[in-house]
Amino acid sequence: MADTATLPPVAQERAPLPAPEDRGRTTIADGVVSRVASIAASEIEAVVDTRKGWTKLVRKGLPHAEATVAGETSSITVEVAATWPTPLAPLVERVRAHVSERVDTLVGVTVSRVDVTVADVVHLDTPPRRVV
Amino acid sequence: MTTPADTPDAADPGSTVAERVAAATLGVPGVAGLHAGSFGEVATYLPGRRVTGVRLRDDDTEVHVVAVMGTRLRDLADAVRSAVSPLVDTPVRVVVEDVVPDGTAPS
Repeated sequence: MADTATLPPVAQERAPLPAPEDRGRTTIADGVVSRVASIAASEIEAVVDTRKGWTKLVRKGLPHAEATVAGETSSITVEVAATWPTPLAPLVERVRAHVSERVDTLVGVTVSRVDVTVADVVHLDTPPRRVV
Repeated sequence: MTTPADTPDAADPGSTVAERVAAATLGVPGVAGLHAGSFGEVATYLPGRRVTGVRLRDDDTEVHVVAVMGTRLRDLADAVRSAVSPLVDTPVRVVVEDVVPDGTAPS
């Protein structure tokens, strides 16, 4: 430490790469993990995205995710609405794998468990219009 | 939260440090916007206007961003930091406040 103390301040300031504590910190807000989880769930094909517009009122704003983050691991609860007719067990597996993978890669938080609830099953198809 | 250092640049009187930091941040790919924080308190107050999401202090600079879904958040924060660092003398603290879906999301 004595060596660095004798350096002129200008030389330290113009160093090409300052020490990590001088470059600043990165903070990821608490809600981000659950946001990433809910967006990831909506990326699955058979999951209905009802998080905005008027569908939010009638479809409870699914998919909805909540995350408990402790340090570098998290446990996530996701509620999704599935389209009719989708086999639910494989869908739940896909949601679990995708949410876990996305949170892990994007946020850098290990996912220890994902609890998936299928809270609704939705008919998306409107009957074809009859043309006379 | 306007510091004495945040005075208009002589070469470009219309732009202050906070506004240049905001512009540099928005230029980073994967940044959807600046965020005012949970209570809307993160901003730099200038005469007649405010720069949301940028806080300049004597010992650090805070930039609060909203990320686009699909970006790795740690890499994004590093990119924001390298874009902002040349503009200020202090450590840059990057806070990822929220994530929004990309309009062209894959899968």
